[in-house]
Amino acid sequence: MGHLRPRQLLALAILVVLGSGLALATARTAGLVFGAGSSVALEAPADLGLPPDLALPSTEWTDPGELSPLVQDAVGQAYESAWLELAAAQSTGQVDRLDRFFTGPALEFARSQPAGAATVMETGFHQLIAGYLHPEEWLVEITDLDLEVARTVGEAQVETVETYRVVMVIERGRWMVYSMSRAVES
Amino acid sequence: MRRKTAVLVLTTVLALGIPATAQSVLTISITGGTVTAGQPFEVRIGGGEDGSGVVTLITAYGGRSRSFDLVGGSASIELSTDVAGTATLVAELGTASAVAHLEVLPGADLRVESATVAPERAHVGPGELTLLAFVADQFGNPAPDRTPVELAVRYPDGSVRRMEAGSGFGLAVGMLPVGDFKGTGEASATFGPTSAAAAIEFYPAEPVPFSFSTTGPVPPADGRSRLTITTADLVDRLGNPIPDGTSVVVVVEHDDGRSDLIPAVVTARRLTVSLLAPNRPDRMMVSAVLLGRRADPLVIEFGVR
Repeated sequence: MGHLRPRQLLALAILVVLGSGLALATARTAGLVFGAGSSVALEAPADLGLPPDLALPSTEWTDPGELSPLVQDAVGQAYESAWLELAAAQSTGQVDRLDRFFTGPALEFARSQPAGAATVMETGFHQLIAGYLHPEEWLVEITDLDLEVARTVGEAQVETVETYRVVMVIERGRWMVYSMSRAVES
Repeated sequence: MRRKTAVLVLTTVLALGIPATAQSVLTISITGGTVTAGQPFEVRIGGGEDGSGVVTLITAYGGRSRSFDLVGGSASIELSTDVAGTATLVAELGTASAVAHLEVLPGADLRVESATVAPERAHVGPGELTLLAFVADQFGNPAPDRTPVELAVRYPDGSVRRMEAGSGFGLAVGMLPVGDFKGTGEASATFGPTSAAAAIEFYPAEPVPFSFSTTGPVPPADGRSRLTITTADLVDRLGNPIPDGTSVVVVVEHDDGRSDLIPAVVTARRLTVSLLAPNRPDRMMVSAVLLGRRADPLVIEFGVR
């Protein structure tokens, strides 16, 4: 991950300072929390004197297509939250919150993964490209292009660059991941 | 101290069976040709010193680990996953590790999981219906791109229009005309022997102008008598009868500025309302709103006995 942006480097610095060995469970107890509702910002620990509005990771719409700014925000936040919830489930095995941001086959897949085998510890910016948007705006295709992902696998840290093809739908009044496939890199 | 294996995922690395390089002599590769979701495949680990290690298969949703014993510099284990897409294999043995990538194809049992149509209640006339279907394998993985799906609309007159749409992200999307026939229809998506359907209600188009007329003499303002007013047969601009049960709001405006909104429905193709005479003289202006069109007002004078 040779081109992490300053905010991401700051995030890494936080994790290092936390001395957590990049363990999310430890990081969460030290102050990284999931926001409530549609707010998904990771809050930096106050005792480190970091900006209170630090939000990591984040999303960028490389190509928002037909999505209005409002929909861009809602979809981006929900997708980002889905990653955070998935990482938490991979780390702790707690899957009861996954249905806040996953539904359909994506929820089934996410729930069925055992904890501890491979845990997403850090991602780069989600660079999103909007595809098909349903005319009633309850379904959208997005591509998360060249996402840098760092995982803890056993004793190793594995870093990859991955692209995801995602279908998101509105259910129970919020955007959720319905389908998420890791695509072949081009 | 954690070991760190930086991996830049390149298409060349994704080629099946190509062992990836690592910081040690440990290698990992898969044997055979295609890897398919739900089907076991063989993973070979080679090099390094004999001992027990762990292989982790990482998919989009997480990972699964399995131990192996390296004997004589090689080991072979069987893995499988239900998650299609690119996956990563990580082998660890002592301080050595190796990484490889593979593509897992969706399962062979593709099916139409769901079908939707928008709008579900369509006013007949020009306009289009959007049909959307999700096509997936038996595990829920999106079907490969360009999977051909037949989308169709059955109209109330029994006619059917079909089109073929190639899937992307597991979604097959198509547009078909609304048509000019009112009633109940159906949108469907078919792939092989599987299909899914969604009902469509075709509503009449905008009604032609309509108005009320009285069916008898206007009674006095005695607070007891009733006056029935009715319309002619209600039809839309295409000549379709407005169906019975269609909701209408009757608007009664009184001489003193008050107004009443009375819910009603179309019955026997007409709108018929029974008005109670007021107990004092009044000048009522009666109208109605049907499918967005407002009737020409009927003025009724209730006078003294």
